[in-house]
Amino acid sequence: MDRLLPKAALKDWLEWASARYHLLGPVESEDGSRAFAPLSQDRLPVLDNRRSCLPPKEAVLPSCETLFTFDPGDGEPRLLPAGGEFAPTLMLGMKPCDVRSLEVLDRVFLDGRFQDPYYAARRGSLVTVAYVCESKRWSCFCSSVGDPVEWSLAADVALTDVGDGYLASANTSAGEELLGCPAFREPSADDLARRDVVWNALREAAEPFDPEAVAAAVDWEEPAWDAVAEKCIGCGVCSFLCPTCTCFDIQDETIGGGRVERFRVRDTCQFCDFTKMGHGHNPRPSRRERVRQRISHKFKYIVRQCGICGCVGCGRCVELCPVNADLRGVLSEIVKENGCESISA
Amino acid sequence: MNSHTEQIRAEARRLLESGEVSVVIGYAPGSTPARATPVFVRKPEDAERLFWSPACASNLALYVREQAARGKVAVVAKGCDARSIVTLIQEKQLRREDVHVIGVACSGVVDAGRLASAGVDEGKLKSLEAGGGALVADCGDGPAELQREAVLKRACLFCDTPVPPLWDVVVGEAAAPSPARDGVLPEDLDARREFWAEQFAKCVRCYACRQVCPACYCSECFTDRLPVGWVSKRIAGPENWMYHTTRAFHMAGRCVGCGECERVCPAGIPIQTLMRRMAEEVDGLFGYRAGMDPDAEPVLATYRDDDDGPAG
Amino acid sequence: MADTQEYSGTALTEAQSSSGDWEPRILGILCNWCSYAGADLAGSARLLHPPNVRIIRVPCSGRVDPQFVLKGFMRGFDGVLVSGCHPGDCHYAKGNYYARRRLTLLTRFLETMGIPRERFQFQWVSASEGARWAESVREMTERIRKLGPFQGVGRPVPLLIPVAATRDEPRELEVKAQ
Repeated sequence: MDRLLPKAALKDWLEWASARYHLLGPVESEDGSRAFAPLSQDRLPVLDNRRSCLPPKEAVLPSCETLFTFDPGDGEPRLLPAGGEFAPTLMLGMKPCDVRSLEVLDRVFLDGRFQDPYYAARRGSLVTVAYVCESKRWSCFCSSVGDPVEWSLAADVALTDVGDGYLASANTSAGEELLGCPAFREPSADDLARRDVVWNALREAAEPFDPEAVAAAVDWEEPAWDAVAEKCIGCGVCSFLCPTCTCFDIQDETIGGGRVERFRVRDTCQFCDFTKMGHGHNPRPSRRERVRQRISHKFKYIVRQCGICGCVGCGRCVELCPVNADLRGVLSEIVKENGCESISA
Repeated sequence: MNSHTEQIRAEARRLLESGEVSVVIGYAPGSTPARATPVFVRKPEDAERLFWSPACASNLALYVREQAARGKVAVVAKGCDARSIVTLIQEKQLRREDVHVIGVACSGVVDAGRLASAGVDEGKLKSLEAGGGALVADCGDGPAELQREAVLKRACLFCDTPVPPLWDVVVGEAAAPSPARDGVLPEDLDARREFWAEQFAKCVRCYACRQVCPACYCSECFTDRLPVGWVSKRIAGPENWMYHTTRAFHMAGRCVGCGECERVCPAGIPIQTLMRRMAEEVDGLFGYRAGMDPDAEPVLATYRDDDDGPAG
Repeated sequence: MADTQEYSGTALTEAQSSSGDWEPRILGILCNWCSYAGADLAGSARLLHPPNVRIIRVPCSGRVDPQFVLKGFMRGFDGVLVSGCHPGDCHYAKGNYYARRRLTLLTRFLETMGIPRERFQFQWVSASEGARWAESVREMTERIRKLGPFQGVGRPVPLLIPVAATRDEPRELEVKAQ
């Protein structure tokens, strides 16, 4: 179902939606950075191709989350699970890579024999509205790892800027409900044509890149690991800011009055003590093993385990790495080393 | 190719051909003209990979300690980077004879993360050069001068050591510094408390600030001492505050103001403001600046009978 | 616990709210040989002074890591007091000289963080100065009482998806196994 939303009517749509949903969208802060934050009439979203610093995983997998609290009571100990019913939430302005990242997270937390109840509760309350980027940034490589247009169509609604309005495509029943707002009108043939122009441009791969060739080429012994490990500083920027990295640690802490809180918190395989065992042994003792692990997991292991490429080409790691250890360059090296002609599909 | 690049390459070639050093740690061009990446050159023919431009923001002293354990190293060092090397020598982490400093007189390096707010599209950048104290960028429309205050690493605006205090060879000349004042911190104490509370609420505890700092070389950081519990792993306002203030204190008299911590912070926290205030207090109280004299005693590892203190 | 990433308060604030009236809570870090003995003397000499200082004993003021003071403020103490031997009288000869440098620097650094120097007291009290100890505790308690409770160092980080309703009754966690 396609509808057109005139840009001037975006405020009206958001006001209509705010009666049904808690609204989240990309807002610009004073220092020029972007973040997903609650929206209001005074705080409208900015829709463009700039990515938020913290990815949308913050909403469904918070960086710090209480799992439960233990209360000794007065001789009657109780276990109190955290959270409860989550407010229906609309997350607006998710780029195609952001939308795809939820798909990857779903495979990790919702598929298989066990569902993560904390993730499931938050994810179940979320309705997504994608914003299809009008162009790519220099660091983006979404179209190299997949089809960003197809990714956008996995959101409940996908918005494309067609000039003086947004062409909205509903892909689910929740999405169709959203387009029921009177602010929308029928799109013209022109609007649809302009949308196709944007979509085709987005699909063009900035760098030809075959994720399957990468998955096949990534190997245990690679000179590339030493080269990256030498300059990698072992911080958590790539993994904490990655929309699909999910590792967490669980800690118990006393919080006064004899009560104990169990919480889970972001962690990264790049920290030196991530795989440190109780007896002191560390199977990933140096940066070489840890760099190898992250890249192999992202492009090979998760493909085998969950049937999906872990990387969505958002480019955060490329732009934010303190030493510019450009992942795209590393993958190029690996594929070349292994004798593949080129890395084009 | 500029003359800085030529001189650095020539020096690297000479050192590697003679076998005087086993590795030259320098900069190679990065993903865009606004970025550079560290490179470890071990063969004379690979000296061609080295270059110099205002994009050379990293503090390469970070790698010296580990690399020097395997043999003498050469490192390309700006003023601040060389001060880090001096600090390492003072703290007996490095011997002077194990490092050959290729000093570079620097007028400031670019923080690529600031370009967008300054209206420069990094994706369209064709070249970025420094000449005669000006920064010139070409985004395809021809060269245009950039406003230094808008694109340089913020720490560079406060720099007072454009020429390395320690060098074996030095490349280039730098204009006399005119450091600006950091006006970010409010004057009122309550406003300050609020300011830091707001800033540290943004912290994601990626520890990029700690990992990029050449002075943070402890094999086990206080944050890793979970059984003791100085700072829990919890990512929350008070814990984030505890981490940053404790680290600032661990940097007292050791931070050289290279500003890498602030540049690499993905959350945009003005860590340099914190470190600079600490450095100013240390200078005010003890007349000491980090990383200027390899023979000086670390400021908190010593004392004087007439130090300021409580009465009686 | 619901809408933010932190637990609802430190142990201190909770205990306070249950009693109703706020009393200054001051963390005291005292060196064993001089100040702790001095405090003990104040006790045995029955010198009346307020009970608001919670004392931790360390071997020497030189043992005092600025982290202890920072942690005190982080956990919600309204004031922190460090007390050691007079310069020249340190049981370990030099410990208090190092402490003097560190803690004078800390006093200034706390102001960078927005914590007024009135909340952090650094002093010398010898083993015979029971009266001086009692006086310093009286003075600091009153000073903190006038300043009011310390407002804390952190701001809660709100969760993006808010909780609409909390379950009060404990229950088994539902884990869907297939």
